[in-house]
Amino acid sequence: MKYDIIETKERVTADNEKAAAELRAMLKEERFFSST
Amino acid sequence: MASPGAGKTTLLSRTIKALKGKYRIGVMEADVDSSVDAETISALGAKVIQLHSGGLCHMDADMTARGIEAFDLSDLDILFLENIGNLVCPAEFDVGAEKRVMILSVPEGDDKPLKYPLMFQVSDIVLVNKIDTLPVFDFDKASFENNAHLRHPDMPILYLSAGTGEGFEAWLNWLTAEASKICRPLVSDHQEG
Repeated sequence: MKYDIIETKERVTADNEKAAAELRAMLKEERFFSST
Repeated sequence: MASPGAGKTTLLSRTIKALKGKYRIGVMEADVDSSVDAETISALGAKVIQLHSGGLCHMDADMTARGIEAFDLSDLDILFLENIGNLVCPAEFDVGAEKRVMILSVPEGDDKPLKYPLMFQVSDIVLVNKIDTLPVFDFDKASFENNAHLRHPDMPILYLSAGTGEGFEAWLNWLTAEASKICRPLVSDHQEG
């Protein structure tokens, strides 16, 4: 297998806007996104 | 984001080839089922995962976060998420991306901004793909631009063909310029280190 397959169908985000903001913050913390 | 068949994977493939050696690229492919797109991207040597929604018509932030766990972010400069193909649901769910790119292919028609307003409102740029088919489809560029800017004034619109490469340089210029603004400045760092 050259790639992972992830089944996401059972994941339902209750508050997607909050989850998206947290994900963006995490990516900034990881310095994947610039903080500026 | 795009309709099924608009050219998302073809555009990603040409982008990966063009930026190979300049950026380290990862791809999350999202589909209801199958691994067709992951196979295509994997063959190019890019790190890729396949997300299966099991029937859902879009990704959301939580699903995206699960996909990101499969990557070592310190090994990537750009991470693409190819959302599930349709012009409705993906526009409604923020996946945590810094930029949203929409592809509209010429055969879909110039009236789509009127029919799918949110998709155009939330996108940072629209790529009009398959311009090599313009001679055989009734696609009016001026009408499309009016319709698109009705939904999102000043939104950049680029015309290209991911199949032939026509117009592709402008897309790469936009992408690399945006990446340099929002991503770590690793374009050359990791090559020099």
